[in-house]
Amino acid sequence: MGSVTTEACRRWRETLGAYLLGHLSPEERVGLEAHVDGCRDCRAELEELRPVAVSLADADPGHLGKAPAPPPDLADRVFARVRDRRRLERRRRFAFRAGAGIAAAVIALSVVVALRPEPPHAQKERFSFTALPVGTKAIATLYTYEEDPRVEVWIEYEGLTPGVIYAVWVERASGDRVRCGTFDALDGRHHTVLTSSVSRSDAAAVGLTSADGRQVLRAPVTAPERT
Amino acid sequence: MLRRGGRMDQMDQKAFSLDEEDGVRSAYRAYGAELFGFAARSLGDHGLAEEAVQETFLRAWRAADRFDPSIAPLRTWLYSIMRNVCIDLSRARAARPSVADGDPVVAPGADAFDQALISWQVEEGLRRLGEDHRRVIIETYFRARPYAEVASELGIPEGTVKSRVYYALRALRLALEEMGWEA
Repeated sequence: MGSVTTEACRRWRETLGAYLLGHLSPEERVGLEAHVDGCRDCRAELEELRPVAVSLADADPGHLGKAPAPPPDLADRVFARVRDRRRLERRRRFAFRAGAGIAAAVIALSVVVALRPEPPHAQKERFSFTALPVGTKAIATLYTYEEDPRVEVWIEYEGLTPGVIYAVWVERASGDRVRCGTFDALDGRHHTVLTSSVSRSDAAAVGLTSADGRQVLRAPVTAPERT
Repeated sequence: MLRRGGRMDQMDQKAFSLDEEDGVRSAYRAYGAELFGFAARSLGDHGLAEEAVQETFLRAWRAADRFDPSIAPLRTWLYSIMRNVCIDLSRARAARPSVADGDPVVAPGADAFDQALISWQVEEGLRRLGEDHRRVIIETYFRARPYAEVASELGIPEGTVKSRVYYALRALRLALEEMGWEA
């Protein structure tokens, strides 16, 4: 922006904002326009600020308060999702290299529709959900790796409401539910994988809650059913 | 590596290697909160906004080799991914069967998201202003209150309200430019 050349320029410039917002009296407006016509620097300043003033019309005054802050654990869930996907893709490559003929496909929204090659060094435990709605099937599988105490949760499901977003959580013995991610039920029949921040020894149950909170499926995981 | 030349004069144009977890962490630290804010505003649902943020960073990580800071800064690139994620999510939400007492869900089109993004940028710019500057814009522009009234409420001369509006617009211009806004 140009330098203020005179005291008159400074005085006029400080009215540029009000001018652009249409808040000057007719006399002030005429005075400012006369000055700007004869002052290249002030004219340049006016043109720099004009689009800013125009842009205000795009803002919704109802949205000027503090923006909603993300929950503190969202960062961990973002990284966990990336880590899960990387782990999956490594397994997939491993499966292809091994010539196992296992086709794995990864589609959007982090839902995995595939046969799942057995990961190395994993303890695998399967659990049923209690009180499933009619027409719904769901099985939770927990994987625990030697190098990482946190459980990986696999949910296989059928008959969930298509398009609904479900949150997956791990319940501690204390009853606290720690969210490990969300998935979109798409056509209602898929698998999803998520890493939780809870270690296997702390996990008492796993479950799903629909985005509207109406549907809750819970599977106790204290006693392994079969491994 | 994502660095392919171009001007690296902004924080977000430092060579982010999004294909590494550290890169995703840096990108999240820099832009996670505002992306969440935008998603929450445009989707009107915090749970869905969390999903949108996770999906945005996952897609960014997967597409890291296509990120070119000489074409668009990281922030702009992430917003363009999030725009598509939000459109997908709101379509998925609209496609689900409506519940008896729920509000009908209509999927906003791409135009609605583009407009929401423009609005969000200006609102975010205004949020970044100092309180004094934001206040005079809200009172005189959004609430259309007379300068004399605002001046007496703030206990400052009317001329100061007027000059503050000018300095507020200058500050807003800077804030918008920092966010990659082009007039």
